[in-house]
Amino acid sequence: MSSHKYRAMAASAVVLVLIVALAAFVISQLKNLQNQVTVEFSQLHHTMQMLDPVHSSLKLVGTRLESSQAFASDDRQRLLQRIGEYSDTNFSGISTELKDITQPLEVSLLDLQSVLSSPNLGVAQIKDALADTNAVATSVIGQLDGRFDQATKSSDHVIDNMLQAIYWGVPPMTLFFVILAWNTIRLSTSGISALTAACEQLAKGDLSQRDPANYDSEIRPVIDSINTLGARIAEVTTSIDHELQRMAQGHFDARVENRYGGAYGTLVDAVNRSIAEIERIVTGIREVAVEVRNGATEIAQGNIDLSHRTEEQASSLEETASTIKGLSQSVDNNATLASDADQLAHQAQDNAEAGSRVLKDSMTAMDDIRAASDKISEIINVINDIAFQTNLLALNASVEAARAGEQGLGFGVVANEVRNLAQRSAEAAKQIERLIADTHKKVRYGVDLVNQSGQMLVTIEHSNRRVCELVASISHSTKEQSTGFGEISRAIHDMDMMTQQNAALVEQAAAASKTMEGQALQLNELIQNFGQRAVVARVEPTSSLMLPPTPRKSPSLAIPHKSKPVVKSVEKPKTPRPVASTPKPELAHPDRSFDNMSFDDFSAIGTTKTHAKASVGSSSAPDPVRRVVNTPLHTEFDEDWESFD
Amino acid sequence: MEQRFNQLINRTEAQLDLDEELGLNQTAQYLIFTLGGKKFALDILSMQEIRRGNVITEVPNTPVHVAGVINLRGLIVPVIDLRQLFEIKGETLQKKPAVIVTKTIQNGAEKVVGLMVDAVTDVFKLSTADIQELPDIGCEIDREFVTGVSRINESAVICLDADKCISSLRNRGQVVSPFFEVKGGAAA
Repeated sequence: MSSHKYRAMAASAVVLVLIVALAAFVISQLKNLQNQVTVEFSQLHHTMQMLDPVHSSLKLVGTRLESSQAFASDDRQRLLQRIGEYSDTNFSGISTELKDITQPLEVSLLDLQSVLSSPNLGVAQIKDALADTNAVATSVIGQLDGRFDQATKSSDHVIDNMLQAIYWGVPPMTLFFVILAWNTIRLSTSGISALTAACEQLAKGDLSQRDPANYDSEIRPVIDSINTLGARIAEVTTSIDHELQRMAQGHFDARVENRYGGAYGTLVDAVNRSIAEIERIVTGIREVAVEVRNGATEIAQGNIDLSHRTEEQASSLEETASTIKGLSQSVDNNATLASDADQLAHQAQDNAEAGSRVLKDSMTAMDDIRAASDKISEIINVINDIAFQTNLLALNASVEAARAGEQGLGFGVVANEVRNLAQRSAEAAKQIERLIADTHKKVRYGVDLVNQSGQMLVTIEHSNRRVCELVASISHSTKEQSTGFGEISRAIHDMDMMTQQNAALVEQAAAASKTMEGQALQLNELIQNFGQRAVVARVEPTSSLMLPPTPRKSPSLAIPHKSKPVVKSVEKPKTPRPVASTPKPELAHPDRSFDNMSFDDFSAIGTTKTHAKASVGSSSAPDPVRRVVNTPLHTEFDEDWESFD
Repeated sequence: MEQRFNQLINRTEAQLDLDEELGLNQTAQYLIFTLGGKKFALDILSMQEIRRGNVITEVPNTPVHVAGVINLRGLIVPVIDLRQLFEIKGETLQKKPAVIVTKTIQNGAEKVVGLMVDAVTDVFKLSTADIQELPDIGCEIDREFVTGVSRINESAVICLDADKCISSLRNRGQVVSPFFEVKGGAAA
C-alpha cells in the first residue's frame, strides 16, 4: 500500500482524535455545569419558595400592626398557620449548607410561634417578636441571594472554558480536513476520466478497448478489473456468436462448450437451450410440414371427390326436380279427375235419390194394382154368385119346362141355353179369378222386389254418399298433395340452386386445396433443406421423414357410401377438371369470392422463404454491441472482483 | 170291371140310337147331381124345384139320414140326407148343399120331400133304353133305390127312384113327417 493512503488515513485519525477530545472536554464541562448549576438553583428556588409566604405574611402583619396598632386575632391565626406550614415542610432534598443558612430563621420562627401562642400578649411584644423574626428572615434571604450570585458566576466560568476550547479546536481541524480532501480528489480525477472513457467504449460494445496502464494510482486495480471484464465479455460473446452462426448454417449441434460462472453461465446455458429448442422446433416443423403436405394432398383429393359428388348430386337433383314436376302434373290431373269423380258421385247420388222416389211411386202403383185386383176379385165373386144363381134358376126353369110337358119344350131349350151361359160365365169367372189370384201373387212378388230394390237403392244411396265423402276427401288430399308437391318442387329448386352454388364452391375449394398442396410441398422442401444438415450430422434420420411423402388414405377422407367409384375416379389420370384451369398457387387471386384468408395464408407461405433467409442473414452478421448492451450486467461477479484486494 | 162297364155303355148308346130311330123309345129328362163325387140322376118330373141356401133346421129324435126340415114358402118340408141314406163317406165339398124338392103322389096324396145333395150339375135327356139295370157288382148303394145305370159324356150315372128314396122315410120304420108320425121302430 502506498504512503498516500497512509497519509490520508493518519490525517483522518488525527481529525477523529481531535474531535473526540473536544467533544469529551465539552461534555465534561457541561456535566460539571449541570451539577453545579441545576442542583444549586433548584434547592435555592425551593427554599425561596418556602420562605416567601412566611416573609410576606410577616411583612403584612407588621404593616397592619403599625397602621392599626391592633393585632387582629385572624391575623394571628393566619400567621400561625403560615409558620406551621413552613415548619411542616420537609427539607430533605436540601443540602446541609442551605440548612445551615436557614437554621436561624427556623429558630426565630419557633420563638414567634411560642410568643403568638401565648395569650394576652401586648401589641408591643408582638411587634418586637415580629421585628426580630423579620430581621432574621431578611438576613437569611440576603444570604440566599448571595449564594445565587455565586452559582451564576461559576456557571459563567464553565461556559467560558467551553467556548475557548471550541475556538481553538475547530479551525485547525477544518483546515486539515480540506487539505486531505483536496489531495484525494486531485489524485483520483485524472485516472477516473480515462477509466470512464474506456468504460463508455465497453458499454458501446467495443470490447477491444483497453485502458492504458500508465497510471500508477489507487484506481489501477479498478482499471485492471475493467480490462478483465471487457476481455471476459468479448470471449463469451465471441463463443456464443460462433455457435449461433454455426446454427444459422444449419448445424444444430452447435453448443457453447466453455463453462462460465454466474450470469455468463446462465447466458450460455440459455443460448444452448435456445439452440436445442430451435433444433427441436425445426424437427417438429419438418415433421409437421410433411404431415401438412400429406394432409393438403388428401384435402385436394377429397375436394376433387367432393366436386364429383356434388356434380352427381346436382344432376340427380335435376332429375328429381323433373320427376317431381311430372308427379305434380299427374297429381294435378288426379285432382281434376277426383273433382270430376266427385261431381259424378254427386250425380249418382241424385240419380239414386230419384230412383228411390220412382220406386216409392211404383210401390204405391203396386199397392193400387193390388187394391184394384182385390176389387176385381170381389166383383168376380159377385159374378160367380150370379152365375151360380142363374144356373140354379136355369135348372129350376128346366124343371118347370119338363113339368109343363110339350108346352114347355121351347122354354126348356131356352132354360138350357141360359144354364149353359151361366156355366160359361161361371167358368170365365173362375178363369178370371185364377188370373186375378195369379196377378195378386205376381203383384206381391213385384212389391217384394220393389221393396228389395228400394232397400238396395237405400244401400246404394248410403254407399254413394260414402263414395261422395271418399271422393271429396280424395279430392281434398289430392289438392293438398298438389300444394305439397309445389312446395317440394320449390324446395328442390332451392336445393338445386344451393347444390349448384356448392358445386361452384367445391370447385373453388378444390383449386384452393390444390394450391395449398403445392405450397405445402414448397414448405416441405424448404424445411428439409433447412434442417437436413443438422439432422444428418446429429440425429439418426427417421426414414419416414426423409422419404418423399407417400399419399395416405386417411379414413376420415374416404367416403363411406360410394367410396369405390370415387377412389377410382380419383386414382385415374387427371382429367381436365376445372381445377386445372385455376391459377397457380403463387398467382392466387385474393379477389376470389371465397376464403381470402386462406389465400393470404398461402401467399404468406411463399414469403416465408425470404423471411427465413433474412433471419439467417441477420443472425450471420451479429451486432456485438447490442448483444453486450442487452446482456444484463449483474453484480454477482464477486469471484472476478475478489482480485481487488 | 170298368172295361165291361164301358162296353155296356157303348152297347147302350148304340141301342138307344136304334130305339130312337125305331120310335120305340120314350125319352125323359133327368136331373144330374153329385154325391161324394159320384153322379146320380133323378127323373125331372118327380121334382118340384131346386133350393139352395135354405137353412135346414135339425129335428131331434129323427133317423140319421133325416137332415131336418126347411121352410119352403111357409110349408115345412122334411129333408133327407142322401149321403147318410146311401152311406157315402167323405166330406161334402159344397158349403151350401142343394136341396132337391120332390113332389110325388103316394096313396093319392101329394108328398113334398127334400133331398139334400152335394150339388146339382145338369139336366139331361135320357131314353128309357139308355137306362140299364144295375149289374150285380157289389154296389155300395142299396139296390132298392136304384132304377138303373146310364151313360152321359163317357161317365156312368146312377139313376135313382125318387119314390123309393122318399118312401125310405117310412120303409125304414121312420117317420114320414117327423112332426106328426113318430114310431118306435125308427129309434131301434
